[in-house]
Amino acid sequence: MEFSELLNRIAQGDKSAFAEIYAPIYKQLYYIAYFSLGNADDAKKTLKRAAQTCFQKCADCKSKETFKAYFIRLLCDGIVSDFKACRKSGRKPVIELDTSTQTGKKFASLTEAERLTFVIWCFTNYSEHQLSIVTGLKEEVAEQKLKSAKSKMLDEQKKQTEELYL
Amino acid sequence: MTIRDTIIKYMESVEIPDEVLPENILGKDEPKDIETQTAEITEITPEIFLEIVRAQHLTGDEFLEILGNSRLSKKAYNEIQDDAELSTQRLIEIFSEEGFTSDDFRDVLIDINEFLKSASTATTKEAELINNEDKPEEEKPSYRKASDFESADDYYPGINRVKMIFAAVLAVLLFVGSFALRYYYTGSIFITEPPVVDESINTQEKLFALLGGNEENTLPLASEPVEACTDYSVKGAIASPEILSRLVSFGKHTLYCNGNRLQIIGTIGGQMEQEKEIDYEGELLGVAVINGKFAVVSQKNAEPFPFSYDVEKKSTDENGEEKTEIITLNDTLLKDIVTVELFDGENPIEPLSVYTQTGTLSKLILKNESLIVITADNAAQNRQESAPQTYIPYSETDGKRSLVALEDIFIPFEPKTAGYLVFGECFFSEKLTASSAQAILGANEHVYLSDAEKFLYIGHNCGKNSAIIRYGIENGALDSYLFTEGSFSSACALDEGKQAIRFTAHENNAMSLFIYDESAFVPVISPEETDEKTEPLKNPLLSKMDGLLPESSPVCTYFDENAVYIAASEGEKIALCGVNTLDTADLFELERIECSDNELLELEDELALGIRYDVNDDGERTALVLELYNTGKRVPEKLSDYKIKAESTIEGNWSKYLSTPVENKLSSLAVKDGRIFLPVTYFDGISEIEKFIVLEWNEGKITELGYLIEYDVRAKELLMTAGDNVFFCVMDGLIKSARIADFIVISQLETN
Repeated sequence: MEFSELLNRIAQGDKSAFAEIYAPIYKQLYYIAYFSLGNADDAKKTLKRAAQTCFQKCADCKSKETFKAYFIRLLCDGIVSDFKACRKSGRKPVIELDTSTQTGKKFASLTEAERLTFVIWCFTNYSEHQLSIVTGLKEEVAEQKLKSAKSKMLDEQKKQTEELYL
Repeated sequence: MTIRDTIIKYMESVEIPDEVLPENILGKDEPKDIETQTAEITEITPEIFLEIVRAQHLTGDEFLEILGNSRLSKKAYNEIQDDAELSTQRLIEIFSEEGFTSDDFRDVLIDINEFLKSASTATTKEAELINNEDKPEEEKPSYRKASDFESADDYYPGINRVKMIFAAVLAVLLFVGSFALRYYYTGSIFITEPPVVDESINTQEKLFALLGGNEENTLPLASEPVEACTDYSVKGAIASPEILSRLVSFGKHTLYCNGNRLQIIGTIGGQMEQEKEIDYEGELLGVAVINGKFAVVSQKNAEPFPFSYDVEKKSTDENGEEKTEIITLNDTLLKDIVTVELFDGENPIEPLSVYTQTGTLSKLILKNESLIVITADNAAQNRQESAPQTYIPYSETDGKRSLVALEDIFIPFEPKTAGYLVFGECFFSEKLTASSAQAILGANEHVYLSDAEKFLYIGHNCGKNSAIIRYGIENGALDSYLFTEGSFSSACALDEGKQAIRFTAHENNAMSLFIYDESAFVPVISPEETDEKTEPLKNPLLSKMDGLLPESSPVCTYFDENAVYIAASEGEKIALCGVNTLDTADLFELERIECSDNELLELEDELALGIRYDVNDDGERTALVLELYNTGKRVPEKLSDYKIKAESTIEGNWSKYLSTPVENKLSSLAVKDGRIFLPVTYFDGISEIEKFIVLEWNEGKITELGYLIEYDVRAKELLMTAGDNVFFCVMDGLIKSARIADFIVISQLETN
């Protein structure tokens, strides 16, 4: 079915049409939420809320790419909102990430902004400019966060060879 | 496998919950907004309230944040906050115990509704930019502040843009070049070699060995002198008059450093008469007035000093037996020396006392009655163990030489070059006296000095090792030290706060912020003073943030209570980055802005002068503006301004030609007894006008007293100073004096 037709159906309240556009990207979206926020409970709630907003407001999206970017932007808004709320409430963020592996340990050591930019980059391969759009960060900030996250994730020994791929 | 593959593999091992599957993501019921739901319900019970809240998919923290703004008591809030397993039933009980009414719940729901509306303002139009790599100017997305990732500005009232802008104002002081900065980079962040610190067992043998001992295995000399940089605290960033001047007037004498010739000029009532000339073999650095005396500072490089030393000589006598005899050899060592001469303030013809210290000048610190002299000293190349003056720094007062005492030599690490940083203090009274000098052994080209109001911080890198050593200005002594995990060879500023020690450095072409445990500094104590030696913390680094302001050059750092603002130059602009340091376990960048401004000169305590130009819409100057600032507050407060315009009888904006040679070097202004002597020039439509305008500040306002027409805009050298009621200036071989009371030139004297 054409993308525009699916959007028309969504505009009329058709949830199944939304599920159809959402299906190819839901895993990426959940991972972005889960690995940014660090726990499943907050990730579920944030993703569901972004989905509800997206369902109500996505009618103007002109392409699947725009839909995906818009959804990620809504998700990022929710994630950042949770970061802020966590700090305002004075609670320590709940981080349930698996740190039994070296990768997990390193990932858990990233800061919030680094986690967010890095995990989106992993699943989308967005450029710094695109990351800036979906995260709402200034491009140089997004670039800096991604750079520092990559740097932390790389082993010293692997740095030189890995950089060829990055 | 790339890093991306590795991380995706790691992430995909996480199970995806059913609730977010495509068929479940929107739920079965039609989502209703809060306004619709509350409008339909007349009485909101705790159960209904929680049901509505649940449908909004708020996270626990978001719910807590909103509850925090309700009339919920602190005790109840804390119970909800602290109990992660709180049951719905208990939550309902809490609301009942708190006496929450339907209206209270409605208020909270209104807050939730507002929160949800504000949580996302993203539009699909913004998302469309995802396909446009060219970033069209007209369609820029609304950027999120980096502060969203930790705390909004309004949550930390101590952090605000005004302070950041102020920091940038201060930044320009240093940017314009009043202070020379030098940055070094070693690229290491690990301590790989153990510190030596153990001043209790310093011996000549140990020092000689550490410096390389014999000539075959000797350490190289430091190739570059130590550079002094400045600590950029709020007050430190306002330019102070320079300690040494080339033209100084005090009492009935004016001293002029004419190249390497000191001209001592009697100036009774402004009439000038040269009394004496003294030629210096080395470099005449300048003169300061300290405690009513003149201090003349000069420096000589490679000054020869003869010395003798004993060596054992083995030989065979006529009977074929080996014998050893001690013979004394003579040699000459070449030392750089800094000399401070004390001249009487009333009769400065011959120096009363002379102090010398080995090394080249790194920094001077002026106190009320004393001058701290810091030099970088290389050990002599031909050092001999039996001649300690060849490898131990020394000072001399009136010819009496004192080697730095072994217990006063601090050794943080194995030295990489044969150099010291030497600290001496001269006291000016009837005669010059000096305290015992102290020294830090090590590679002095990797030392930087950062001053503050009470302490100097000496950053010390040696290979891959790093330390910060603190020097107490009040006591005039090395005070304490810490070891760092990271290299700070390009350290820029350091602040010792109540909670932690923070400093900024320039590494990998970007700025870094380090935060250390407050107990990281341990005292430098000799074993006679204590039985217990405090061991430095092995890992005092609490937190580090790097990659700040990439591709820029550091300018200054402003330390606020909960944040650090770092200013760095990007071309002609100053970029500013604020970092929240409230939670030292996790640092976040707050915000960065670009701004620029002009410099300030300290006139007196809590009062500073700024100079700028007013310009019209066409970019033409319309006035030269002098501004007074109250710097007693953390953010300088502008008190008043005074505008100088071109005077002419011919119509036209002649102010566009207004200029002053001191606009970027305010510290060269002559300021005396509440008066400022400002050279200006402009074209009045007929001719070029050049004059010294005399201004006075009083009760926060500037007024113009008059002017002298003796300024020569073409003079290559311009020096100004003011004595008692007399203004002096030097312009290309001529010293002129003028009475301040009536602006009349009294005399002039050729200087060549």
